[in-house]
Amino acid sequence: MSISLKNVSYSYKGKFQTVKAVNGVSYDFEAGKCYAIIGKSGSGKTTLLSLMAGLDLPTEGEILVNGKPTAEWNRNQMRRDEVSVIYQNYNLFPLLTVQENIRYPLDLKGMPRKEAVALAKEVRGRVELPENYDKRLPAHLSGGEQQRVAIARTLAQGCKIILADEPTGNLDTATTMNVVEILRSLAHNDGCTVIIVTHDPAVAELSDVVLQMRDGKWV
Amino acid sequence: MLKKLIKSNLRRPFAGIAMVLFAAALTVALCYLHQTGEEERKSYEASFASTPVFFKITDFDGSAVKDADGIAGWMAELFTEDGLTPNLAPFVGELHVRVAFPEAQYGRDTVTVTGITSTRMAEELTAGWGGSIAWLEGYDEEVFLTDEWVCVLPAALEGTESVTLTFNYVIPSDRMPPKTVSHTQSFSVVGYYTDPGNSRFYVPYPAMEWLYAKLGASKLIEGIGAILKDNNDLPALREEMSYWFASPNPAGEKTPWGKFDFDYYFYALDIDDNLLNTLTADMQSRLLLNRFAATAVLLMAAGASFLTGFFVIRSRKRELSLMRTLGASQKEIFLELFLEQGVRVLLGIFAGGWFFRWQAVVQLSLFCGISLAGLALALAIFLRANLLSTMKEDD
Repeated sequence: MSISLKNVSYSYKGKFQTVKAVNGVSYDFEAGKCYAIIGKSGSGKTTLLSLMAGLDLPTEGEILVNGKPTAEWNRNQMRRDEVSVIYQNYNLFPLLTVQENIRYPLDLKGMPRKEAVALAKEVRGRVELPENYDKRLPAHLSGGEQQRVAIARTLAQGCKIILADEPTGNLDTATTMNVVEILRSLAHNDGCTVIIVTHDPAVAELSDVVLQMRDGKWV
Repeated sequence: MLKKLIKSNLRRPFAGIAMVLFAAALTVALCYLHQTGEEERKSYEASFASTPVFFKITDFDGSAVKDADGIAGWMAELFTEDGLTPNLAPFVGELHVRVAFPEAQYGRDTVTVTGITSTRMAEELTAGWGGSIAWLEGYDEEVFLTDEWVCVLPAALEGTESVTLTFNYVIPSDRMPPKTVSHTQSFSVVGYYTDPGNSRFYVPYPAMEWLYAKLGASKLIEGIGAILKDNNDLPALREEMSYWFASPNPAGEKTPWGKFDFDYYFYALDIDDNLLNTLTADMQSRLLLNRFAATAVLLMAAGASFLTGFFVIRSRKRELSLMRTLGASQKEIFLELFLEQGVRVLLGIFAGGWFFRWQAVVQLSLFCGISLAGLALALAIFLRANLLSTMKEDD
């Protein structure tokens, strides 16, 4: 499972001018490794991550997911089965319980309820959340716990490419380390390709490869 | 699916209840407008059917004919089926006649005694009638169709139990000196009316008929009013009459008329349907207002549905973006939200419709369709937006 960038550019119309957020970026991400993309705000790293998640298509170049350009994928299908995203802000459905949040992608895949519940319980255990959290709403969880639920959902989804946009942005140091550790183990133990966009040097240090972006390009 | 739908609605009880109440309120407004419109229409139809049209034979310029004695005959002919003269009878459901005896003696006073078939004739043939009748116990306007010797007096004479009137009629003659015929008759008072400026004594029409016969006098018919069997026949009646009579022309010129080559009748027939026209115009403007209000409510419902849908969806933008990033297709999101919101709208419409016993099915169906279309449009607008841009906006 890999993801490759081939001369990827992305521009969009801003309020006053066309903004080139990503400018001719190429890279091959390998499975089993944890990558950190760092850079200042506006450097294009989140846009690049969103393009890799198939939220939009590059305006130039292409992104290959498992050798197939994102333009050729059914991108809903791709997001369901191949690429999972963990956002800093877009994490959980506020009115669904922890278990329902974890089960959501499984319901989308049409998995029978019993199986989905069993898998949800299993992955919840893997991120070290106790069983009585199943019925809790996200509002009753701490930031770190919420992020672990999001990771559990990614685990349940079974995607081999995991993209995380500032997953530790709102967390304290101890919780940050805990979350990064889980992501690292997904790469190293489960063979996932984990790409983390972060501002945090500590997170970058724990990654296998650090890529830096400035003005939409690698530095 | 049903379980999911119930669950998703229960998760947002306040939003759900607010939406249901909102849809119900609009439904009630629509139904109420429909109901009032229907009531007005029915009342209009009833009034339309019972509104009299007045007929008067006039000179060509519309003024009263000088040969007053002859008019009675002409007028009478209009309503009899003799096969020779024009005939209004087939069109007429109920006929009201008013005859007057202008110089009856009441003590030292001279009063006008008017025979009527209904108070309606008194009211509608008296310009500016602004009065009402206070009946003595046991009497009502049915008395005007009897041959009892009773009368209704002006309120100024309240307390008078009976009146004795003397009717003097001068029979003109070319050869002999004019002869005066008299008859004295007592009338019991059965009611008093208030009508400023009016001082007639009203008596039953049959009593006046008898008196005219007794005196051998020509009747002075002041007016004939008819409630047509169907007022919609009025144009047909006009056409029929136009063969026989000219229409009054204030310029005084004879207008050509008739199916004959000669002037058959030397009078014009004034068909006065002002009451009908006033009623129709008034009702049309009220129905138009009602229709306008109903359309406005419908449009408001459409706009409100769209805006509600739009704001509800906007408030859940993050949630929907998350659904999309997790791989939910636009179709799946559309269906989920459309059903969730649609059920609320339908519940509201159902509640409002039930309250009004399903009176405005067409309007409700239209409202339902417009509401759901508004919702669908709001959803479609959101779902068509670029996901990456949406998320950038939210960041």
